[in-house]
Amino acid sequence: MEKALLALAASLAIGIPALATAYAQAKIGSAGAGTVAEKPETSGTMIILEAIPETIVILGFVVAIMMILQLA
Amino acid sequence: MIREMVRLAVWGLTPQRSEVVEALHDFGLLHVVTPVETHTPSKEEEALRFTRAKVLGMLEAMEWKDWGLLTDEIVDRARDRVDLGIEGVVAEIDRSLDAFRGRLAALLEERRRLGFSLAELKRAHQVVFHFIPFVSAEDSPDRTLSLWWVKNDLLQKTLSGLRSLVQKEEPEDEEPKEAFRYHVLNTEKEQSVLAVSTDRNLGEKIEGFLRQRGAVQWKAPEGFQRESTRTSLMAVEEGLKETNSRLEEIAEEIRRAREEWGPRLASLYILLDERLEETLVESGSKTRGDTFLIEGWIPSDSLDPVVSLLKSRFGDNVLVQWRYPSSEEWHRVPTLLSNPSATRPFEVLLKLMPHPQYKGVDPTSLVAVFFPFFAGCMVGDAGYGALIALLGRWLSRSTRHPLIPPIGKILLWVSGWSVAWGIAFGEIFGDLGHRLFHIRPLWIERSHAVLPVLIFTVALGFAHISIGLFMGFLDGLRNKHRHLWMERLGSLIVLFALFGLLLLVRLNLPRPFFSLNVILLVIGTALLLVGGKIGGIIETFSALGNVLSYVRIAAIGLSSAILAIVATRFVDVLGLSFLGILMALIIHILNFVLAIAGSGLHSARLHYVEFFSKFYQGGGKEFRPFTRRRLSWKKPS
Repeated sequence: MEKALLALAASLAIGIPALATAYAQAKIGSAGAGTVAEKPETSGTMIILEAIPETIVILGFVVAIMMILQLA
Repeated sequence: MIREMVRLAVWGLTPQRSEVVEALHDFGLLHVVTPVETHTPSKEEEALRFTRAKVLGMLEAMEWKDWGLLTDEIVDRARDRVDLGIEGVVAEIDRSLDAFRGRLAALLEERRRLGFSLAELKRAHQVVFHFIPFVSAEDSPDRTLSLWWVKNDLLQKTLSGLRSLVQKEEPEDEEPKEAFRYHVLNTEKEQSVLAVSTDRNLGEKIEGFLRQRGAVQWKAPEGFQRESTRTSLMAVEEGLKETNSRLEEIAEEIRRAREEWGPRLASLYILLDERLEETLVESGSKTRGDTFLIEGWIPSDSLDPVVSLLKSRFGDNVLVQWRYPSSEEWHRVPTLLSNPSATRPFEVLLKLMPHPQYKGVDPTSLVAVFFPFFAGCMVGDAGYGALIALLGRWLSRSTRHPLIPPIGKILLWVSGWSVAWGIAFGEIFGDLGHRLFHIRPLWIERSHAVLPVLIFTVALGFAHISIGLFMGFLDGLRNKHRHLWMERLGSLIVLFALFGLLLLVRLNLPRPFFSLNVILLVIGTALLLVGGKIGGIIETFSALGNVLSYVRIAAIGLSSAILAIVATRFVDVLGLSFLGILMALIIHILNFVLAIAGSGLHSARLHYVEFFSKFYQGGGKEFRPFTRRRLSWKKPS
C-alpha cells in the first residue's frame, strides 16, 4: 500500500506541474506569437518567457525521482 | 571579445566630399555617426529611393529570391556597366526598364485574371464532372435539360412536386419515367444541384414550377455559357484545360524572365542602395564654409590603415583626428564582436538577445564551451552523435541562408560532445552497441543509475551559475557599479556557503568547516543586503532555482536514452522482420529529431535564462559599418 501511495505521489509530483506548465506555456505562447508577429526583435525575450514555467516540471521531476528511489 | 573602438573625425574640402565618402565606403569599417537633427531628404535621395523601391518591387513581382546566389562578379559587372552619376542614372534605369516592366506587368495582370477565372472554373468543374454522363445520355432534340440549385431541405418536396406535375400533364397511356428523369449532386453547402431532363413540350412548365419553388438555374461561368447545357459543360471542361495550359505558359515566361533579369535587377538594387547610402552620408556630414566633417566609430586596430588610405589618396587635403571614448559615452559606442573562427558560429546564438553593451561582456567563448557540452550530454549517444556530425557537415556547406552554415558548425561541436558522452554512457543507438559489440559504459549507464547523473548535472549547474555570478561581479567592478558587484559577489559567496553546508551534512566533515561556512553565509548575506537589499536575497533564491534547473540535462538525456532502448526492443518483440526493423527505425528517427531539437532548445534556454541573467547586459548598439553591399551582403528587408 505504501509503495502504491509513493508511486501515486511520484506521478502526481510530475503530472500536476506538467499540466500547470502546459497551461502557462499555452497562454504565454499565444501571446508571444502575437508579439513576435508585430515585433520580430522580441523573439529572444519570448523564448525566455516561454521557457520560464518549465522549471516547475524539472523540480517536480526531481521530487518524483526521489520518491521512486525510495520505492527501489 | 568586444573590439575596442576609437572616435574618428575626418575633415576635408567640400569639393572632395564625394571622393572621401567613396573611399570610406570602399574601406568599409567606419560606423558613421549622423547628426540627430531632422534631415530633409534631397530630390536626389528621393529619386534614388523611388527607383530602388521600383527595382525591388519588380524583383518581388517576378518572385526572384536567389539573393544568396548573387556573386561579387555579377555585382561588379553591373557596376562597370552602369554610370552612377545620380543625374543620369535614374532616367537611364527607368528607360531601360520601361519595356521590360510593361511586359512583366501585362503577364502578371493576365495571370491574376486567369487565376480568378480558374477558381470559378474549378468550382463549376465539380458540377461538370458529375453531370457529364447524365447530360450526354439525355442530350436529344426532343428533350430539354437544365441544372438547378435547390435547397437541401426542399429537394424531396420539389422532386415529388415535379413527379405530380409530369403525371398530371402526361397522357395516361404513356410511361411517366420516360418524360421526366433527374440526377442530383449533393454539395457540401446547404444546396444541391438538380439536373432535370424532360420532354421538350414540358420544359417551360417545369422551369416555371422550379422557379416558383425558389430554385435557381445553374449557369456556367461568364464566357463559357453556350446554347445548350451540354455544350456549356463541355466549354467549362475545355476552358479549364486551356486556362491551366495558359497559366503554365505564363509561369514559364516569368521563370525565363526571372532567370534572365533577376540577377541584373538585384545587382542594380545593390548599386542603387550603395549610392543612396553614400548620398545619405554626404548629406549627413557637417559643412563649415569650404570644409566638411564626417564622424564615426572605427575599431582601434583599423585606425592606421584608414589614416594611411586617406593620406595616400588625399594628402593634406584631409585632416584626421581620433580619440578613445570617455566613460560617459560608452553607451553610445557601437559594439563589434570579434571571436576566433572556431567560436564565431556561436555568435548566432546571441542574435536572439539584445546586443551586448560596448563595455559589457561578450559571452561567445563561454557559450562555445558550455552549449555543445550540455547539448552533447543530453544527446549522450555516439550513434546519434555521428548522425549529427553528418547533418552538421552538410549544413555548414549550405549557401541557402547565411544563418545555416554557423548552425551546421555548432552541430559539429555538439556531435563531438555527443560521441564523447555516448562513450561515457556506453550508448550507440541506445543499447545497440552493447547488444552487437558488448560495449560497456566508460562512466555510468544513465538509464539505470539516475541519481549520479542528477547529482552531476546539479554540480554542473552550480559551476555554470558560479561562473556567471563571477563574471557579473567582474562586470560590476569594471563598470564601477558598486551595487551590482556586491550583489553578485554576495550571491556567489552564499551559494558556496550553502554548497559547503550540504557537503558537510553528506560527508560528515569536521566542525571548523561548519564555522567557515556560517561565516561565509553571514558575509554573503551582508553583501547581498548592502548591494541589492531584499531584491538581492530574492535573486539568490532564484539562483538556487537556476542551479536546480540544470537537472533538465539529466531528465532529457534519460528520456532520450530510454526511447532509444525502446526503439531497439521493437526488434525483440516483433523479431528481425521488416516490421520490427521499420518500427525501430521510426522510433530512432523520432528520437533523433527530438534529441536535436530538445538538446538545442534546452541548452539555449539554460544560457539565456539561467546563465546570462547573472552578468549579461544588453541594450548596446550594433556596429554597422558604412560598407559596400557586396562586402557584408544581406537580403533587403
